[in-house]
Amino acid sequence: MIGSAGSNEKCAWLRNVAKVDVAVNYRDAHLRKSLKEAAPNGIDVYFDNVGGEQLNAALPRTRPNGRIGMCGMISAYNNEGAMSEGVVTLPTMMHNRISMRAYIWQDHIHLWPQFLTAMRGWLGTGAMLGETTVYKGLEAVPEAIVVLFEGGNLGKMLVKLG
Amino acid sequence: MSYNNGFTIQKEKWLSSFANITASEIHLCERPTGMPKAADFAVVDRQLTELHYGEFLIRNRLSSIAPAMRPPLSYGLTSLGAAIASHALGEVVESCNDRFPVGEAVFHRGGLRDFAISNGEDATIVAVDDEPLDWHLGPLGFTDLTALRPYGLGRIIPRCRAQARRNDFRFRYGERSWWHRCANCAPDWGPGDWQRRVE
Repeated sequence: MIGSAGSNEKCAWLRNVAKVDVAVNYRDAHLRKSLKEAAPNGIDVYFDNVGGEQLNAALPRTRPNGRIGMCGMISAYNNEGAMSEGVVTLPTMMHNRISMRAYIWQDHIHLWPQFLTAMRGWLGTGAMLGETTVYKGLEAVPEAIVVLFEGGNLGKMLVKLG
Repeated sequence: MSYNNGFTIQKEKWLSSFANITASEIHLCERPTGMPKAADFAVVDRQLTELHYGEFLIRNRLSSIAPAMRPPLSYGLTSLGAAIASHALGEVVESCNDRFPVGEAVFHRGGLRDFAISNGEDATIVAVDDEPLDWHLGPLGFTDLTALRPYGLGRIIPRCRAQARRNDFRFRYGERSWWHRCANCAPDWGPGDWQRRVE
């Protein structure tokens, strides 16, 4: 299992706390190379929240009949028109018959009760970790938004009000 | 004589007035280009005075700040000088809506403000146990609902490689079928081969 994050501190968290096999930094200039070292035999399933250069690097590493789920593209949000950088490795999707499907959380709202039961169990046994970064007060919101896009949060970014 | 057909609508529930509440909310003052700056946002006060039928007042406890909020800040969906929408968890403190009684915890879209008024369209009641409250916007919340494999990933893309392979011509006709011998089909490039060609 390969974990990907945007800073070295988060990669250390992935390795030491979440116990992934390899952690890669998606802001790394040599992302393609480090991904190749991380997955010499390729990737079966890829969950994409970054897009752009990470997708560009992951597509050639994906094995035949590999599967990609996409829900989020943070590398694009600050760009002009919220457009992604060019992804030039798309032909490998065809050669390796890769399926890619995007979705948003509202698509699975009917599964929430089922999800809550399962997730409460996993959180209780410690199989799942719930990390949040909590800022206090409405005055802290502008700073929290900036920190979120600099990647300074670990886990879900929240603001505590009242 | 009144004809109420058996409905007992309490009169005070049609309208609820409270002493002026000063609610603070985050407004967008300038559309960010590239990285957002703290100066693009401002805390603005607003007076809330009354609730109409179907509305309820929420005191927010926690608000989410999500990357997905970013594109609407630059491209129109959030208006300049208006409150920014975000998901939040709060408590109903005053209600003119029978489905959302006072005291319930609700998940709704009126975040980034301390008091919000909702008509229930974008709100759901949340059953809060004794777990930490921030879990309800974190691991038990909407973001992790998407991220979880059996409930997100596994449901929307083929569950396993065997299922994904079912449409693959090598699987359907066999590796050395007559079709393969006749057709000039694509070689099976493994991962990395194509990358080498590009580099």
